[in-house]
Amino acid sequence: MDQPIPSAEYIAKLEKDLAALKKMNKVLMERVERSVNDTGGAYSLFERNITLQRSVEARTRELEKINLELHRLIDEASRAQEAAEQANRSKGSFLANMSHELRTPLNAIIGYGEMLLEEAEDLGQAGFIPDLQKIHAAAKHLLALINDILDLSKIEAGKMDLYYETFDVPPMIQDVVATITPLVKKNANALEVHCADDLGAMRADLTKVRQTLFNLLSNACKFTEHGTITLEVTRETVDGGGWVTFRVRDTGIGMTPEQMEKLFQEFSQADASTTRKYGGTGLGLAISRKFCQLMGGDITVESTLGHGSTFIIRLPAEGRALKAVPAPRREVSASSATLPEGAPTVLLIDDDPAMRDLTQRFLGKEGFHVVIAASGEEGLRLAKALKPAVIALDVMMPGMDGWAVLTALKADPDLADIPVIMLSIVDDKGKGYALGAADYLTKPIDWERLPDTLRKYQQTRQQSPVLVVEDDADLREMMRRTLENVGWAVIEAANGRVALERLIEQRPELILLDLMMPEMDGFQFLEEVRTHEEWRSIPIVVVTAKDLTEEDHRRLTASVARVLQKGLYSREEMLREVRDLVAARVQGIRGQG
Amino acid sequence: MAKILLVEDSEMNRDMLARRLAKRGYEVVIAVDGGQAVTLAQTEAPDLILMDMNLPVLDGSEATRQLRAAPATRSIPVIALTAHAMVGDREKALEAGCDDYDTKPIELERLLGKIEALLKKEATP
Repeated sequence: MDQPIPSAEYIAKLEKDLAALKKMNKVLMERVERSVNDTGGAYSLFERNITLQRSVEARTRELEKINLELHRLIDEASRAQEAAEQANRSKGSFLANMSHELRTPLNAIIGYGEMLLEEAEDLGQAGFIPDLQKIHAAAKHLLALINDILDLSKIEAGKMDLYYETFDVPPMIQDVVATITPLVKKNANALEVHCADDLGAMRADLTKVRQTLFNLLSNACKFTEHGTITLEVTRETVDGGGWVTFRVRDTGIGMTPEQMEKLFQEFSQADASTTRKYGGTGLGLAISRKFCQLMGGDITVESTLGHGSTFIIRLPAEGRALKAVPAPRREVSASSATLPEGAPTVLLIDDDPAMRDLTQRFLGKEGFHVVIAASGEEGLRLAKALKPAVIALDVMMPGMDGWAVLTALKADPDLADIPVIMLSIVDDKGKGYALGAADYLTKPIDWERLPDTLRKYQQTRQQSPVLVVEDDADLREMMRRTLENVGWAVIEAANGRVALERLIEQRPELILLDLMMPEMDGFQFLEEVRTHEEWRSIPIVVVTAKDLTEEDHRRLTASVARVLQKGLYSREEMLREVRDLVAARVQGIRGQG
Repeated sequence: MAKILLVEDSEMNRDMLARRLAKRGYEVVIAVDGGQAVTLAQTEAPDLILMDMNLPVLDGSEATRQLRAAPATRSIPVIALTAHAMVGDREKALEAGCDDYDTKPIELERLLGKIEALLKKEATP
């Protein structure tokens, strides 16, 4: 089995092949090495990833724990707030009841005292008279204190009602002057009254105006001896609104700036010793000022120690409550923050004083003009008087509750188009929307959301209408109501042909368009609209149940602002979507314009 | 002298007002609740009624409404006596058909003025 000896030629070929193989092997080795290196890199990356993921998980768990703790704290805080508000309400009603209970025996003391005085006079028992007079005077003073405390507690509980009436100013002044005259004479003072000729009538709570004037005049009498008290009444127009100004000037002891600062605080007269020397409850000014603020005005003061004081009452001539008071020059009190002209008016109807205060302050900062109503009845009255841009309405109120107010608002043609946002602890959106609410926010109020929600609605009013083109009468009706609830005027059309007729009559702000309709469908309608230059800029939102094909999409995207698929939403969701979309579209357009 | 029906459930208030009115020469008839007030208004035919608003059995405004509904008592003037603390009492009283109102605590001179004004109006129809 001898093998043939390979030829030199053959060997040379083998050597060449071997060299090629070696080279290839080297390349392969390099590749393998590189590949092994890469894998190692990937592996270490993988390892790093796992570590990172673990640490992220740990962080997430930590965050969740913190979040939980935060929620617990928030819950606790809101419970504490609830309790505090409850306590505040109880305090208010306790004071009201207590004052009533105190008054009953006190009335008996005053009444029997008067009877005894009469008897003593009749029987010639003059010796008893001074003592009886002292009992009588002390009882009267106690009664005045109780009345003041009751007034204050009512103001604080938000239960002070205003009875607006229109009355002539000069006879009211005469009336007050007649009542104050004995007090003027007591310290040998003179009273001068200057009434402008154009005073005429004003609309306010007569009793409270009278009480306020009487309070300021009696203060002037108390702190002035052998001097002059001047009452000056004028009428002026500021920013288009009529104001009646009463100035009560005295030549009495006057006040330091420090005293003026404390002046309007409850239970604080300018000086603690003042009470002992001059008497009085120390509540009169605080109450008077709150009365004026409730009526949309204010009281301010100017004074120099030793040179007398001037108290200035400013009240709107057509009392509608709470419009920013024009700031007098050099006034001490800076009451209402000045709002930009034309700030939108929001009417807040809520029986809870804490909530009202919070909302008012918060929305005030956000640039809203907030008018407050403490009850449903007052809310309705103010809504009629003010025609606010938006109404925020609490649901649970004593007496007339939010639902009743909402129903009444929607039943009044003058008010039905004002968007109403319900604020409630109870989540009852369905009922709210059914009764015509524009939106529904649950308490505790999300303060971030509230101003945006208000802004959304405040702008939708009194614009051109929205054209709803929809053949389903039910759905059309619901869309109309949804939009009307937030203040839109709505034109309806049952198909494309009718819609074109409506377009000719009036240019809408926006068109909501169904696609599948008899006579003229949405696509045909769109083509018609696009041939008219003047209609091309009207935004069109398609609301359709049609399963859109590629071709449909292509046709629509050219001419339609947005497509809403009916099937993707519940009816309620769809209507909300429509509503928000309309508001957003129109705002967007205005923003650009 | 004129006969006044005083309707008041609080004993002290009733006693004070009845005695002071009697002292000024009025004949005073007393009712302690709204139901009794309606009955006595029929049988006693008073010239004027002073009606507390917050009464047991029938409250003041309901009693006034019943007085206004009956021919025999329809034209008897009624002055409502309202508590200072009770917001809305005044409106309720006038709505029910009271001719006038006065606020408690009673200031006798002021009330007498109102009584006399209404009696005079009745005398000269």
